[in-house]
Amino acid sequence: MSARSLAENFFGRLQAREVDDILGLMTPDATVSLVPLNRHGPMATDGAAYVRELARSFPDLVVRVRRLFVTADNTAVAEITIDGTQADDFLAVANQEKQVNLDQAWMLTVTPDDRISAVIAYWDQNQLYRRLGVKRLDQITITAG
Amino acid sequence: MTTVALPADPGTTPREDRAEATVRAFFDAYRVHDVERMVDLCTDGAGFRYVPFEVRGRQRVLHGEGKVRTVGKVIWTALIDAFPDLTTAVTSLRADPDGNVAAEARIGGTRPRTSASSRAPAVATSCRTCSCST
Repeated sequence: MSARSLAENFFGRLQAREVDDILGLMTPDATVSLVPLNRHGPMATDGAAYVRELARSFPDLVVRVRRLFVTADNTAVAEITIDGTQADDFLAVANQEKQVNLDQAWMLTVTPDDRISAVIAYWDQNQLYRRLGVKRLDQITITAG
Repeated sequence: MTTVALPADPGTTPREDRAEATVRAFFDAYRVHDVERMVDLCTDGAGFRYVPFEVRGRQRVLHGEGKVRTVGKVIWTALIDAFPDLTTAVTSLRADPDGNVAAEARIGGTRPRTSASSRAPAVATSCRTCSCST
């Protein structure tokens, strides 16, 4: 499986909210950096927790890969858009059933034996808060009606 | 950000190296606040997309999307005006054989007091970003 098809599989599993399948694509010691959340650690714990929260909060999640390329060091770089309707608290933001669409950039480092060893994700956290109806960035639990 | 890179060196170096060199030159220009040079490193019709930029207009939300020579130049200039000490440090560059480049960078700066907000403190900010160009 090429790095490209592995990345396509990764985002397909993300849309399907299949956390265990995502972890099955990883090396055992794979790392994750969710840059906007300043959350960095093992994919098996930190990454899985984020994906589970995303899956629970957005049961109708759609992941659209807008652009995907593989660099010389076998890193898959993807620009994606996630769409969904909030159905539960997400990242401490109360559920207001807001429709969310958010552009993100992901970098997946792929090993020679076709496993993902590192994941880095970027998005604009303020943009996410606006989509979720957060009124005050210093108190994100306060949301607009 | 999405730009179309000009070849930095049409010689025999691999396409990845030339694309990386162009993007590195772009960020070098950004670091010294040379917006004209940043624009010159892009093709005439280069597209531009700046994800975080959203302004709520009267009837619709305006996004930071268009062409480098129009929207991009304005946003880069506005950023540098707002943060006179704006710094840009590239932490990684990765290219593919088609000339696509992903750059991770740390951008930071201090927003000085203005006469309109003379009681507000100067605010320093820093963020880690990722941009892709072709």
